[in-house]
Amino acid sequence: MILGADIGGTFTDLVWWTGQQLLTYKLSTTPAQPEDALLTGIEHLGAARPDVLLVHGSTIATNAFLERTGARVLLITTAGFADVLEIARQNRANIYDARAPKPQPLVPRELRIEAHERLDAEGNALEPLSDAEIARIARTVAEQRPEAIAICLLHAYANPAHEQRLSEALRAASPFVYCSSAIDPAYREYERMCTTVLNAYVAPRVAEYLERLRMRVSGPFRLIGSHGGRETSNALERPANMILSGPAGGVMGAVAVSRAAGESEIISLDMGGTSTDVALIPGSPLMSRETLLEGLPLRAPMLDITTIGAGGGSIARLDRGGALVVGPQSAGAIPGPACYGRGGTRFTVTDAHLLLGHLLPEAFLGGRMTLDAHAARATAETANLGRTDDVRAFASGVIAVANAAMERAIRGVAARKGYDPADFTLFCFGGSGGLHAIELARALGMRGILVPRLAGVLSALGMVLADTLCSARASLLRELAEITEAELTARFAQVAAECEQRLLADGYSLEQIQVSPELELRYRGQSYELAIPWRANREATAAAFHREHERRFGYADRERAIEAVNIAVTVRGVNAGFSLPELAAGEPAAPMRTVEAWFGEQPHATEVYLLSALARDQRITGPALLAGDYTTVLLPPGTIGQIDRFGNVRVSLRN
Amino acid sequence: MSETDINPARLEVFKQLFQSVAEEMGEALMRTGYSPNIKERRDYSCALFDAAGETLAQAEHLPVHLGSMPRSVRAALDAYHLAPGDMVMLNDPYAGGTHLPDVTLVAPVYAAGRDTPAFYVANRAHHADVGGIAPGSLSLASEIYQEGIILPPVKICRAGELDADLLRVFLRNVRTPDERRGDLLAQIAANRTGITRMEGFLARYGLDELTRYGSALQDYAERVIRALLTEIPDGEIYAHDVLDDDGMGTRDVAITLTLRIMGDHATFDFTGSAPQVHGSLNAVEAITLSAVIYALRLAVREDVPVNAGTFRPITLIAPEGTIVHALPPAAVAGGNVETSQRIVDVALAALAQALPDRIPAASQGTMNNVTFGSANGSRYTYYETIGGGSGAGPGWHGTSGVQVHMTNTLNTPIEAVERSAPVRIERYTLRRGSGGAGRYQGGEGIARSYTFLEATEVSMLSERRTHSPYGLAGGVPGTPGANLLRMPDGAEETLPGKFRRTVPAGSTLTILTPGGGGWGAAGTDAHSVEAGSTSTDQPKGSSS
Repeated sequence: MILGADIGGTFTDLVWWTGQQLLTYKLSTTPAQPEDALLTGIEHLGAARPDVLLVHGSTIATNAFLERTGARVLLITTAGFADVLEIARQNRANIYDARAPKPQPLVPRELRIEAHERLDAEGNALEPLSDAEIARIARTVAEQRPEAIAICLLHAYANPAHEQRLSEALRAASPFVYCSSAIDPAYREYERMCTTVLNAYVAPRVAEYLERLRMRVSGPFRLIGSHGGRETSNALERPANMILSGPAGGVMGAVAVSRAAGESEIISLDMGGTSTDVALIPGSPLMSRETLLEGLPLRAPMLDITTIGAGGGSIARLDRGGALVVGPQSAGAIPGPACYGRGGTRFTVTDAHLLLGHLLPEAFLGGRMTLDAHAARATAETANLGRTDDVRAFASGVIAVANAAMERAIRGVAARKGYDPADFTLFCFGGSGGLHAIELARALGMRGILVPRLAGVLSALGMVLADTLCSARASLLRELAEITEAELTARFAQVAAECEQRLLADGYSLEQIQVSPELELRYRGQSYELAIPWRANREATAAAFHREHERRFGYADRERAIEAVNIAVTVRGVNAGFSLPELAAGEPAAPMRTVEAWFGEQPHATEVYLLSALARDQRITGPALLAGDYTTVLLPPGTIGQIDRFGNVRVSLRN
Repeated sequence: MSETDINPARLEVFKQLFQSVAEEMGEALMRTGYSPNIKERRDYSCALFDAAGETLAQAEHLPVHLGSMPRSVRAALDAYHLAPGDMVMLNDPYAGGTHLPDVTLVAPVYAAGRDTPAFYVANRAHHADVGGIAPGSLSLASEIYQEGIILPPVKICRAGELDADLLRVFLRNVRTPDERRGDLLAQIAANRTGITRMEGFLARYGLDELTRYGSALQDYAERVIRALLTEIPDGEIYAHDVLDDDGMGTRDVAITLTLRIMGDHATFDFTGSAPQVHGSLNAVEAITLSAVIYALRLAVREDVPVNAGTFRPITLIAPEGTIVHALPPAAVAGGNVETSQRIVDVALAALAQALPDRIPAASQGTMNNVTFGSANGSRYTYYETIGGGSGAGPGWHGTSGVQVHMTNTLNTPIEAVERSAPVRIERYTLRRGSGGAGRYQGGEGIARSYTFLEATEVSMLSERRTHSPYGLAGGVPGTPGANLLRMPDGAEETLPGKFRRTVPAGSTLTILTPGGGGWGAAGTDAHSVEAGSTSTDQPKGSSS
């Protein structure tokens, strides 16, 4: 039995798959001790049993990073390069803001120590690392008493020996020593260094959390990583992989629900209070090997998710040129939109929906909060420079602007990957997704929309379903034509061996273990790589590379030599036995009541349905509001909502 | 059209729409581009124009392209009527370009049933080589004919068909034809992306609505700049700075600015600036306009678009034949990368007197262009720029080791350099203490050392080696840069800011980039500023 739990900033969501049925529960997060809410939820569901495996995504690493409450890290670099971490890539994030600083490095100058040693690009020692030098560094480290240590030497991806010798000598100084050659053995020193430091930075906080959890949870537990998979029991080897685990669970949930529903090409849109996560899923989710966290690079295999600074809490204002601007400032969860009545004084997207009748004031969050339309109206008048006559037109404008910003971002995401949004269905979840889905899908010319029945706990559902993933990577940097197939096969086996051992130790049988070998290839002279599945022979793999290059970048150069930069393996422990429960046949639900809601500039008598009461195969003609506890789906006039056999709301926008 | 017809929400919606067209063109260009300079360093700009060729939106903002893109469109329209499917290519700095490596492609967008274009799209990309006396087309030169192939506005596509003859001529004149061909095809694809997207919006919103809000957005950008200028008291402000030298014997090349504010209008008058020089530091007028617009935009603290409206409250006077408005056949490669930085310094020195609460001291003021290649034939060439310190401002410290003002490209990783060239990087650190002291400290420059493993030909185009980046309000100037050579026998010498030299195997070149100027006297707590109180003899400033 598996229990998935997503501990978010506002809510802790739980989904328990008992083997026959799905039980769900949602409660407020307890930020100081996030495990408190988690354990309360487990008790409530009656899942506090030793035979229940808890799989969860936690914000422990995320918060340690965002709030800069991570460890005091000491960094060891090659002599002459202690400032690489601070110089970064020399570019600036905003060219028109002279005040904007670079992101602060996570290790200050006085904790960046230089080691006298030097490797060349092939890993040969130009200057050996002497025992005396190791002893000198060990003394310095002992004086500094860091909580964690990161080691990143030039060209260590080609030869880990120097890093390993330092690491062994420093084990006594800290239980958290991370080598760049183990964390991320690939070239480009700044990104590798920053990734190593990020892991060291969050490690002690994650370790403390796991220890607290171990004392309070009766059964086994595992964490979800940014790659959308379950980690093995060795999560502390790369703790930074947890930083983006929350959004990853949502994408995995979206994949599972959309596949069951027969919509395999989706763009998922998780619209929350402060931001919106977008993922392009052409059949299966796209993976990325690098992302920027507040400007700092993290290199690790992860789901490719783009975050847009627009959400229900985005603040609207008129700027001094007379344009209505929405975001990027957000009222967040606290104080939140004005209508939350928690002291928010700025007009937000959620306030706009309330004034337009898109939200039911008394039914918000399943009735746990009553929205204050009065407060929303007052702040609208302030934001609209005191004009009281056309508050609804103003609110409509705010929605239109928020949609335009999201449309622009989604077009950018698709264009970067070489796809057209018109070939996709918009899969919406998160608190506000259902309110924007149809307008947004129309503007992008998309096929239609799908809002899942389990929209409120989708991320936790994704955690129930996730396979266990373990990946490993090694630097190659050789021409593909020069490497024999036998040599590659041996390297793949070598790199995969440790992951396979871990999955066996985690209880998987050999039959449940899938190994996916990949080569990261590029044309010689290029500086970016494409990950291509290894097809057991060089010609087929090269042909696949040319095809993918043509699809992604518009051309292929079949005459040019191909360079194999890295080899990578993903080892997957496959979890079978889950199927999304279908809704039993039932009587179509009748509308609860009729309200006045505005679509565009016009008011419409709009029927309100309880989302959870809608029956399989029921059709609802817009204008209508489908009100759930944590999400509302808006059906504008002329649209038809169709409930599928899983209870998902689907609207086709093609005739 | 009166302002009240314009809906603030629709204004913002169209701002996002037009911006998304330019951005999507940029994504297409980066995605299909061939060379690292386009894919990695993102040295390109994409923009959308109205029927009159005036800018509506520009993405991938390289500030140095701001003022010059509309001139490319203008030059294309002066040369041709653009029928559907036509595309014009150009790089002539004296006809819509900036310097020869920047190649611009202009194409029309037609609305159904109309026989003149409703909009234009254009993109400009920096090509890694366009011929000339040295690889990279950015070397010391004394006339433009030495800098590479010159393309006046020419039709590269007619009714959708690529002109293969013209393409052959271009490719025969460059060192890396395959790469150039790939990049050029990417530029064509980027314009086609923009056309397709605009045709979609024409179907969705109609020509009238798009035109109306395009014009409203220009008015909007104009209002923002006029509001800024109104904050400045009427009068004349004087500022002055110098370029170190042109690398061919001319020293202390002056750039002089009188900024006249009258109500909500500004005149930037560069009368008094030095005559154009023998070396390649000459800027064409479009670069000077870009630098001025960039400096103004820096003073606006809101996130507003730059379009044709931004230019309306501005008059530029840049006398012909000077360093800020070069005439043919002057060489111009360095005008784009170095002189543009100094024009920004001068424009900011003037604005600092008017708006002392928001303008920073001088940043490193150079791009430190390093080019090297094998001395025995052209087995490889390598080009990079190096960041330095940015200037401190009222309330903030400068940033260390960063590209400033007119450029924003990324560095090349050491582990990549050492794989692609017979060179070893010995050191890559911040120059501790090189930022100007002050209440707020200037950012630190960078020290980067290259040891050449074989005989190597090195070219350098750098500035601020003799004259320091200025401080403001009592802040100390940044430490100037230096180029140092240590020979295999240990002999050391200081090289000039601009040189071309063959060095033996085992030589080490160390580039020290300038620190940024400090802001405010050290030890003071005051936040107030005396207008015009700069801390060195340059820039000279006075208000009247």
